[in-house]
Amino acid sequence: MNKSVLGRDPFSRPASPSPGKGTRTRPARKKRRRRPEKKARADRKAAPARVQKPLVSETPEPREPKSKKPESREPESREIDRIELLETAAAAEGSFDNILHSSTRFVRPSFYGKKLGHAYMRHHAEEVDPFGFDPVYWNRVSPFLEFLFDKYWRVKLQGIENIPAQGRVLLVANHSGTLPYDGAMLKVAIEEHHPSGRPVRFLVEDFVFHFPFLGAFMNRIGGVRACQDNARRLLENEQLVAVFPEGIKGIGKLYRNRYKLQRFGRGGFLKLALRTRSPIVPVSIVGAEEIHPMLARMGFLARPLGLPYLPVTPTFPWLGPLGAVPLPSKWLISFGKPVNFDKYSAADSDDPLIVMELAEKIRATIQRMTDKLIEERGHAFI
Amino acid sequence: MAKERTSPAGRVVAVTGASEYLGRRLVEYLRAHPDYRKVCVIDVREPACASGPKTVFCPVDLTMPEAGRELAGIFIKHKVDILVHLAFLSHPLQDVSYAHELQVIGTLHLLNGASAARVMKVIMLGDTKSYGARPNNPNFLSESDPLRGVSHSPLISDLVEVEKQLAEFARKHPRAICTVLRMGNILSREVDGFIPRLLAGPTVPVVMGYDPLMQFLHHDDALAAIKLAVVGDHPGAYNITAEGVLPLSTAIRMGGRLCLPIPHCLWERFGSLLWAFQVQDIPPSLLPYLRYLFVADGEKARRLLGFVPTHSSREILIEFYRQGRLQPTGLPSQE
Repeated sequence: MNKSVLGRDPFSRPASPSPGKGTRTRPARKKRRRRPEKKARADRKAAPARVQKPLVSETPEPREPKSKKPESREPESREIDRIELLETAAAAEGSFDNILHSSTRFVRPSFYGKKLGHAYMRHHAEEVDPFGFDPVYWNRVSPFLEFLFDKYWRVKLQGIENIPAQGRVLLVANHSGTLPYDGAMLKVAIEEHHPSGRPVRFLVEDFVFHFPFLGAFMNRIGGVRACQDNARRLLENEQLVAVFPEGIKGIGKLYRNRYKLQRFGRGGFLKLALRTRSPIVPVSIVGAEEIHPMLARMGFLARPLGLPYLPVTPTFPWLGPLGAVPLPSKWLISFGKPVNFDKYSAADSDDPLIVMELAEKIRATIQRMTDKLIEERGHAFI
Repeated sequence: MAKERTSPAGRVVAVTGASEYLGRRLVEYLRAHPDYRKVCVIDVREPACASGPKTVFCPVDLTMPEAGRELAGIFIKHKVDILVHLAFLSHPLQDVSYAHELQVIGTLHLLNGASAARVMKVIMLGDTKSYGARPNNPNFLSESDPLRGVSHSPLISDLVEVEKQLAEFARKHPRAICTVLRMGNILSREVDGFIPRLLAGPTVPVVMGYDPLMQFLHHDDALAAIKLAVVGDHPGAYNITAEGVLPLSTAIRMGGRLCLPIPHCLWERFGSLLWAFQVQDIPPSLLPYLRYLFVADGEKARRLLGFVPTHSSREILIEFYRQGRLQPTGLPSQE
């Protein structure tokens, strides 16, 4: 068979295919396929053919300007379908090569690639925002988080109206609970229960991105690496940004230190608020300390694993993976009045004394709110 | 230092790397442009585009010790005003020392020659990979961020070194206009590179559990940026990037490719063996680029260079996969 240097182009072949062995071996299949594909083939007449083997091309411009370029936002699943159609169209052409090509497609990785690609893309957006938030993926995981929010932890909200419906705002919250469920709950609280339903971006500690799965997951649900540059960018786009200035020290504190707010980093969040002129809404989250009461830390094992800490909870190493199930504590989330820093200038962000003083004020406010909430809540689990 | 040789007859441009796609297209463009009197094509072997009107082929082997003097001679003889240095490797070679000679020492010779001949403008190809892929990168790297590279990758450390050389050259010659265009992942069948090679195959190995955001650049946009830098005077470094980012996994799945997740520890251990025997196309030293973020912010180029990308990352990816069905992959670019 005369092979063109451009590879096999089923559309430019002579109409009468040489009756090879292959055509007779699967006549039924060929018949079945021919009818529906005719039309599809006509539609895709100019579409580039698939190249089976890498043949060296000698002409510089074999590149047919990809048929009718569909209005660029063609949904991706259709892109995969197109490949499928082209292949079956090639099979319908009936030459031995084409039949062979279509009958052996089960052994080629691209076949499985397409199938798996379909399955994967069903739950992932094709276009993420510049920071990697994936709305389709979020829609998939949010029912589970809403279940935790409504049924499991029975979260009660106070003062949610204190969050401005638009404009840049920095949420500053206490951090606890061994695993960062509090961030997720804060996100659910605002996106589901605030009238504006505005999106929440939360800043995530660096170390998360060292780990497999965790970093990619955080990115997809709206987490952004905690650094000044990222946070500034988000705030300048008038976004709502949640920070947990206690960081690792807060989330990894022992149960006996529960609800004692740790040092608020080096006041980075305050510098940010001053520089971007964003109001701060202090947030207190009560209930997260009890989900994984950390009795001790296994430092000797955490270090070789590269983890910041490895907790010992009443359930954790003892029950194996089951120990990773959080306990059903009762949660309260309270949003304070927004704090504006109008009387300070952006230059004050370089004055460490002012920054530390203001940061301490915010910390004290959140501590007060937390103490009040604990009293209101009563029993931690019932 | 520049002698303001901009004669009414037009300027003279010296181009390295004209046997590759970007260089070839640039030479064609300059030849057609009335403002440019002559194009000197500097290469080891004569590329096809060197035989044309207004074009002079200057054979120089950049890895030779006397290349600096030769280049100075060429620059003076042809009264070169602008040097466009595009002769960089986009994919690591097995022969690390040759790569080092070509990129680092070659650039050194070029800059020495330019320094002796008082070339008034030097434009160099950079790469956003020079910033290094790290878990503690900001989501958008700007030109002021340090070039940290990645450890153990000779290719990347060469790129970083070359940029340092140009910065040093710019410091010594304050009146010379030195431009670095850091290209953000050119994804094209024409321009070789480690990402195009990765996505070209039917099965794409990825690092298990990592899914960094990626950006891609169209080769036409890359060329447009080079043209802008040649035509105007824009000293400094610029990130040349397209709009939009995509997670690597999505980029792979959009082409119907099969993802093959490999645990990082295994890849790191056996990858160098596979690379040494050329079974695997990616040396393990480049693995950070499949694990962590290295997305650059092209705001400065839009603002100061006037560069407007015509394709978004997603469109580039779709075009890349479409072309793959028509033309086999891994071809050297041909005239």
